[in-house]
Amino acid sequence: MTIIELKNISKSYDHNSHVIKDFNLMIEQGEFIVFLGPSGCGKSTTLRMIAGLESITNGDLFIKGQRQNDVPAKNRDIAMVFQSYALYPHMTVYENIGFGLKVRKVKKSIIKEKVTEAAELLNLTPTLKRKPKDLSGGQMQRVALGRAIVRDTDIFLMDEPLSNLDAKLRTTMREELVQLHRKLSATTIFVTHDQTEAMTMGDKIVILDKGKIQQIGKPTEIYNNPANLFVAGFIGSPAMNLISITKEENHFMFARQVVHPPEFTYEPKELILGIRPEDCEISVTEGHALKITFIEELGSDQFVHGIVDNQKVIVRELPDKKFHIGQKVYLTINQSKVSWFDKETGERLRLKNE
Amino acid sequence: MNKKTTIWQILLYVLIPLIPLVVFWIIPLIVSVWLSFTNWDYISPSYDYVGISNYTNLITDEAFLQALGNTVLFALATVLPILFFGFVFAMLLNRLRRNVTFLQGIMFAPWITPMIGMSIVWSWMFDPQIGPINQFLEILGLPQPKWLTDSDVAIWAVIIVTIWKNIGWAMLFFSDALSKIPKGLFEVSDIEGANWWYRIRYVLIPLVSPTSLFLFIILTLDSLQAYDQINVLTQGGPAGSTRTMLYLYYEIAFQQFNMGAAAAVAVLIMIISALLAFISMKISKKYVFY
Repeated sequence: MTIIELKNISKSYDHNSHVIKDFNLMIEQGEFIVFLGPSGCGKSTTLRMIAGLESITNGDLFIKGQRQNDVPAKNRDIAMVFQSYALYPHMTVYENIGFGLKVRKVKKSIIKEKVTEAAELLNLTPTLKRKPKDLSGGQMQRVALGRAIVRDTDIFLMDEPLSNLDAKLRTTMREELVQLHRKLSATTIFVTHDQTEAMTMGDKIVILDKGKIQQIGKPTEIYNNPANLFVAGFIGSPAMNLISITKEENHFMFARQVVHPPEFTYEPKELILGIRPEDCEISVTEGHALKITFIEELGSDQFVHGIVDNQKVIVRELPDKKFHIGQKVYLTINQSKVSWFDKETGERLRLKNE
Repeated sequence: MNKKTTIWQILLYVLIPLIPLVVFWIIPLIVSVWLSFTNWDYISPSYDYVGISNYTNLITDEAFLQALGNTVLFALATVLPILFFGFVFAMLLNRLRRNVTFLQGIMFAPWITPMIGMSIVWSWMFDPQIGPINQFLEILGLPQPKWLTDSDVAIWAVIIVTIWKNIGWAMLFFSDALSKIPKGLFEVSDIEGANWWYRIRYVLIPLVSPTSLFLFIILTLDSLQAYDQINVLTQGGPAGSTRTMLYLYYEIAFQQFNMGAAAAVAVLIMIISALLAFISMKISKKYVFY
């Protein structure tokens, strides 16, 4: 069942330039959706429009089939977790978690029951009487989450809730959030600029850039079949190698060798070949000549940076292979894993027989 | 840096600022306390020690008790409305969400205008015949009191002027406090569904409470020191109805030349001030959030 629908949503502050343009998205009940994009891409603005904290310039927002454009935030019955946590400094943890219930005039006994339950779920029971200033970052984050949980709503909005935590805590909280989502099965929209969070948490990822949706899909779909050059360059660490292929007299050439791309639905003028670092290999005997310029050793594997035909590439290699900077080797590419893009439009090229 | 010079530096830095404090505050304070046990008349070189009779006389003196009552009424009736209106105006200006510096400037203007000058303008405003206030009341068909000459009303005239003068000042402090509240805290109350009263009661008031305490203490002490507006508007009259403790002090000291009794009033004012400040600080521990 579709619970949230965004139809041609646009947002502009000055009637000339759009922060969000023609945003269309259907969100199913119980889904964990991640809005992913670089800062300033409009992902937070979209979330705030769904919450009712920003007005919608054009288009329609439906929640459970009801148009929400003119419904004030407090009547949308949505819970939201803020990046800054937005805890009231003068209230204890207990009061902060119970705030939304108290505001809605829920009975004190029920508030107590729910807050206690939420505190247990989030391991906050020993901190209930403390004020936010006596809490650690992770605890504050969980209090903000608790405030959302007790509301018993079926829509959660989360605006970069993990970005103020240190790396280790972030990993733990990531897991806890996913577990929590499984337990509560509330529809969740999670905004982040961290692709690891997006890849590990999302049922579906919506990638945004400059106010436009670039691609919607499952994490693996997006990783394996990026829809355009932006997505290809944004997802994956290190990012996909994007190699320009030039056309010389009806032949596509790369590193002075003729390339035979598959047949596309149309004939592009110039091509870009995209290949993930783990889908190419370094060979000492055959392939395209590559000069090693830099080696990153990560323990579990190593990233070998090099130059092929004046273009930078990164190859992921096993850690026990020995290379050195300046070494001249060869690059081989796993042809079945190649993504092709039209250099002019930046879009992924679809194969004729696909 | 070696230790010897630091000690000298500390002495230097503390002693020099201490000199004016000692000359103009601590010594007069001690002298006042000492004078309050004498019957010095401000002019003659001789005096006698009278023990605590200055104090006992005051406590039984009707004029003093009236002044004490006036002071309490004046303090309560100025401080609370100033805090209330200052907060309300700050909130309204905050809601405008545009550049309000000009409006703030206008509202702040009474505070930087000398009280003497403003009091003269107000004494014209309060004039029963030609004053605009009574002309306005006449249009509305309301009773027109003789503001400055009726002993039941005069203190309210002084109170109105004092409130008017200080609202802009309190508003400026509240505006600053409100603007420092993170936007997210308001957005949470939006999302959680708080109505306007709830937002004010449980979010705004607690978050500006340090400012409220500061203003409360300063305004209370300020109200104990009110003199200019009383002097211009009513000179403590009619029938002592606007005579506050400080004004009584002035009268006893410089009109009746009874410096001993005046010093006793001054000492009592100081004790009351100190007590009030102390009590507010104590109460604040429970209600003020830092």
